[in-house]
Amino acid sequence: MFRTYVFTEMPYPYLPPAHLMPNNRITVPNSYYDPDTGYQLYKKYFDIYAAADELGLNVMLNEHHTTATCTDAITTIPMAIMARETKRARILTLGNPLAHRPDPVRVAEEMAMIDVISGGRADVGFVRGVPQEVIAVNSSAVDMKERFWEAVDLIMKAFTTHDGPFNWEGKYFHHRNVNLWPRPYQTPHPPIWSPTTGSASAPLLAERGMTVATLGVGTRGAAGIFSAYRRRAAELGADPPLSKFAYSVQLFVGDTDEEAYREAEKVKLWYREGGRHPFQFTDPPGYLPPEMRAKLLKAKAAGKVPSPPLGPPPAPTMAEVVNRPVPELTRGGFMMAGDPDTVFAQLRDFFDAVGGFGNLLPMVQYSTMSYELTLASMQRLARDVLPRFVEEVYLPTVRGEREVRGIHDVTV
Amino acid sequence: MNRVSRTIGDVSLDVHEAGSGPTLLFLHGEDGLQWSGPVLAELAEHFSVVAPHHPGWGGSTRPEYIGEVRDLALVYAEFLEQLGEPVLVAGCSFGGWVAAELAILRPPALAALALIAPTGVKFGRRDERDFADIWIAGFDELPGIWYGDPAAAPDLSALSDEDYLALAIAQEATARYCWKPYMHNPTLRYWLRRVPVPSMVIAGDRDRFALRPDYAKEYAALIGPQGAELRVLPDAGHRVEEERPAQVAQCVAELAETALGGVRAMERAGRP
Repeated sequence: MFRTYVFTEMPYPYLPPAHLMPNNRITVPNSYYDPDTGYQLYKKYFDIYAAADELGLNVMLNEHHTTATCTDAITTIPMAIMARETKRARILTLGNPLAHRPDPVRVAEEMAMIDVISGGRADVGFVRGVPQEVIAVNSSAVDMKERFWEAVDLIMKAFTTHDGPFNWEGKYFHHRNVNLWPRPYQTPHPPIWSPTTGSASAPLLAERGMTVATLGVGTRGAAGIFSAYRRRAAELGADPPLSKFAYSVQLFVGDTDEEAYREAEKVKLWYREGGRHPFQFTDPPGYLPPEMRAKLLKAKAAGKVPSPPLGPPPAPTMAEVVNRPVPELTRGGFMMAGDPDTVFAQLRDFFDAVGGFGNLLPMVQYSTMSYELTLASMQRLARDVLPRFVEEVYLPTVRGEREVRGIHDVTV
Repeated sequence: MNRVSRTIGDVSLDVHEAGSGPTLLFLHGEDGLQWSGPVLAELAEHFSVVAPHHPGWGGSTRPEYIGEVRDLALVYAEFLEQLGEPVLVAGCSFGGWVAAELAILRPPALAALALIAPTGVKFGRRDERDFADIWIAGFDELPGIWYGDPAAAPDLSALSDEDYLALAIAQEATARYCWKPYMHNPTLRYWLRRVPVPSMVIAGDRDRFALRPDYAKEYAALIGPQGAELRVLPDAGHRVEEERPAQVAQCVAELAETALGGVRAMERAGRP
């Protein structure tokens, strides 16, 4: 089944503009956050999610810390709300920032509870955690990947152990008695997802049968990541279904292309806000390999503002994308926007170029986008794009009646 | 300056050696030996200087199990056993912290301890910073934190690619050992009384990294049974050994005279 998980990062979009306040996270005093405005915003965001459920869409949550870009500070809280407020939607978190969380067993307990409360609708994402937040959560970027994988191993063992307690004395985590109550609803455990923006991590996800998600890396970037996953799976004798592949992208579906391109600018603002912070928050020591960080230090010392490319060449950088027109970004797969026919074609072409995928994770709301505007886009997506896409592209491919060509020569 | 490799257990240390005289083990600070050339040259006028990169910095290897300052102290305790003779230990900033952890182990070869703007001890309240946070500070603010005169800071734009890599490696290593608790070991202050040798704390009077006005004085008071001698050098910041290399070397030489004078007189008299 092709699944679409819509999401908003629940931004607080009322900071002074960037020329007055260049930074929007970590050190911004929360006097700039008006709680009553925040209350109204949460209502809007939860209404959007409720509407998604009504439309037959699934929902995705994520978390970020100490930032106006995302007031979803704890992914489990909205997941728990969704577990009761939605009826049909699968509830994906992408995800639990495991290298930032001090206690993986607590994460396992939270996910198991949500899975049971929702009757088995949880999709459990594990993320390493973004560099901007190592300061906010005081979690060193050094050896983060190693911490992440130990946490994954511990949680998976907790999910799948049913014959009583086990102990865990690892390098980073210590427990004398792990014995999950409740255990997850889904057997053997909820689907496990993890995002990556490079093809180096994709084989590790393939080895564990995890769903690989990638975010805004463009068509070529996603193709590279998915094919790295598929190659490793093939080496291991596995043939992963399309449900193991997910792509997240800024999306707006309008009545006309013209309207969509105009409104999609509001979703595109994510790129501007996502890069609105100083160097030291993006590049804490230990997050990137020293060879890469050395180049950034050099650029910084030369007075440049280093900005990472969104994907493999010729992808624009985070800084460049802000000024690129939406239609151009849709051609590279960095956004999807247009009327239903246009978005259908974008989705089809992306699907074919990446060798097929089974989960679309559209960011349907950002900045000040209203409930009504977001709802209209989601309605067109749910009614005028997805059924046709499933009928004409996804199902025929799954049935083997349609061939996807894929791009196979990209390294990300 | 010779560059040699020394094996300490599982660690291969990348060591700079220079000069002649009593042996001085020089333990570098956060940025490794990148900016230490002038102070090493000054020290080499008085000492046979042995300056290793700590495991994790420069060309030194770091076995996976080495990740805390105490581990570094144990590496250097073993290094002192290899050197055999009386050794002065001097450390700058993070290296001062390592030197302090080494001294409380009371290695037999330790002859004297010079802590140059050391870190490792926190005096302030739990909601009070003892050290400027170098990971929150902006790139352009760092020279003003490390140096009494920011204009005296190294010109990063003049570095080679190799130097940038060394700096990136050094910054990662610093984060590895100093992230949490930030730049200190909460129990070190209670053990510094065990330092058994003549000691000196040297600091600049314009240190803007150590935020307590009397940080060096408070630190010195904890060392050994009677406290360490304190030398505060005027118009210098936290990187006092970079800003006043000759004066720092002179202070260390005077400490050596106090500590080793007797030993050398015995050697001259032909006695062990």
